[in-house]
Amino acid sequence: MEHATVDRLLAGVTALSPGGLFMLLVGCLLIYLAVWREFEPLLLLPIGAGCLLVNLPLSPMGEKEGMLRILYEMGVGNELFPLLIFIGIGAMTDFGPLLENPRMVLVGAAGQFGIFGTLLLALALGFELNEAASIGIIGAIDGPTSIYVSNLLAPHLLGPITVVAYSYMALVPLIQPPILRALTTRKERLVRMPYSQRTLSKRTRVAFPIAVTVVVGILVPMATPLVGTLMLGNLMRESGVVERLTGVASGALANVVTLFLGLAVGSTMQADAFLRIATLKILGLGILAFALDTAAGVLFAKFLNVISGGHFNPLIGGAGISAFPMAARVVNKVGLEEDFENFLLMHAMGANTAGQIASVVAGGVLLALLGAQ
Amino acid sequence: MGELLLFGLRLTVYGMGLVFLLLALLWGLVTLLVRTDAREQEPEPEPPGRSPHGTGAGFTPALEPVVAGADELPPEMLAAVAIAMRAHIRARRRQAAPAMRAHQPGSLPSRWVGAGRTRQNRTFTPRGRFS
Amino acid sequence: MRRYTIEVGGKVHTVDVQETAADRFQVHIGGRALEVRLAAARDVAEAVISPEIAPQDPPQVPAGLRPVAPESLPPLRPAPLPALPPQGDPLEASSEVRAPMPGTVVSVEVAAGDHVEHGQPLLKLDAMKMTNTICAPRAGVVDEVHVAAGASVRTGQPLVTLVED
Repeated sequence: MEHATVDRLLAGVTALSPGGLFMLLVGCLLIYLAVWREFEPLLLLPIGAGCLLVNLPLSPMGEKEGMLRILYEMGVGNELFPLLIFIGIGAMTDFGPLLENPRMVLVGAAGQFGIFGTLLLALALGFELNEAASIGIIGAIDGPTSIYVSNLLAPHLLGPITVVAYSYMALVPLIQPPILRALTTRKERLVRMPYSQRTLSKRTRVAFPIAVTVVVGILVPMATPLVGTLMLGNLMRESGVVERLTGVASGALANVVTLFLGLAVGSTMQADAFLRIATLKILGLGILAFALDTAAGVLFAKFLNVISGGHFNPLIGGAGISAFPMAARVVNKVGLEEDFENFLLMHAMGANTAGQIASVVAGGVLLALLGAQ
Repeated sequence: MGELLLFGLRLTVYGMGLVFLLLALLWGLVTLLVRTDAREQEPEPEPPGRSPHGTGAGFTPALEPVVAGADELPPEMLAAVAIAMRAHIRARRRQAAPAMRAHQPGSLPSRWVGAGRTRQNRTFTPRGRFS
Repeated sequence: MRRYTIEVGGKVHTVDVQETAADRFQVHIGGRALEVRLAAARDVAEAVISPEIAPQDPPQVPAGLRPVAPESLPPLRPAPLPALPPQGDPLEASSEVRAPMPGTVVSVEVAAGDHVEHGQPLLKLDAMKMTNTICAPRAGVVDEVHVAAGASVRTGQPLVTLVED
């Protein structure tokens, strides 16, 4: 056999590089986290698979005509996939608890401090402004928002940011409780908040998404795509006349897009782009973003507690982030640990859905502030 | 570097301010939406179980009659059945009708008998009393 | 068998009631015979206790006698009722364990007659896709379980009635 033929046959083996090998391990780690630890498996498994496929030596998947490249160009590069997912999220979310307790909206606003706090820290660590902003958006604790914003501001950081955002989102039940406990006193955790159920008319439920879209859209045009799709899904759900569309948006479409999005994001994790010191910094800043969000939410809720004369449980502040519904569940659980009769779930759900809207608004505000620069 | 940080700080202040402002606006909007709802629901009559003024005869308002064979009984008929039944129970109870007894006669001891039986079953006897 | 003539919303119904047991009745209404069981009768609001005064014919006053008191006395009015407990405070109610939030009952862990300790799980309530355990607020005996697995409940709806030992 000729020497050249042997070379060609063993091209894969000879093209192995340490970086590529390391990225294969990272891909396997993500798959392991998804399969055995069940960390956001719906996203981390495709991301891990995409990472594996693109980092195999001489892999054609990430080349110009490769499937992963096509998927990336199809929906990530032009921001289509996150928005389609938002339609599904809107179709799955019940804003009832928020409508019954409108003041929870403010708690959701406080839970976005992590975005800006992390942005400051990233600037201090020497990141460029657009990079720092897209790292800060991890603090929105909202996958699609993170992908949308970071792809607009710093596409080269999309891979690490998405992976970090989704991995920590799965860790919310571990990250939040210590912060919640450290920042509240036992007396505060024992505050009971009886839940009064209001009957909401269909008109209100239908008017809510329309009103939010119009108001936010006019005031923060940059947030229109995110708010608009989220609320479109919710409008379909609450109107009750397009159940087939709601079902597809929250089921089949969301699943298909999640698969495509995961694979495409995974394909951005190529060794030369991923194996940098910046990735490690993002890993550290990401967890800080989550912690800052929780802390700011709790501190703001403590402030509300003082204003209301001790009738607002500060734990609810921890639910003012976008990780739905994990954050609300964590808050409910921490409350129940202290007093098994203290059900904070519905209030926390209200704050949590407010956090979803607020994170989208914050993403739009961030884009507007940086775009205006 | 310092300049950049300062810009970041300004960004933070503007950003959080804007987010809060927008969401406060949203708060007002939602409150308005819900309030129109509440106003519409106000004239709704009180549920009957909550109205303390019953028929004047002092019937307990909470009634859950289980009617067999009442597939399409109109509600007013059901109400009539319930009232009649309650009135009937009262009337029969006043007559001390045997059918209205929940327990067999004699199945419940009187308090005196009960106290005596309890003492018999008690193992502890105070010394020097009740030999 | 007794016959009651009852007016509901302007419509007159004639109801014949015959009791067959303490809580079972045979009711004839509108040409139909119904088997009725009284499943429960509880006070849920402060009921007015008014003396039962049967309307009678005015007493026959012997001619020549005149009452000393004026003919018409001011009518007796029942005292104003204490306000109902606020609806937003469902956990305060004495012996009813009420639903703290809307949801679906997943399973009921106790049955009527069971003795429960403070903090013992009574039932599991699924709200916002999260299963919550509703525990006994105090020790006692389960008097009645108002819901079954699969029932959807609203905030403040009674779930279980506890009584003292």
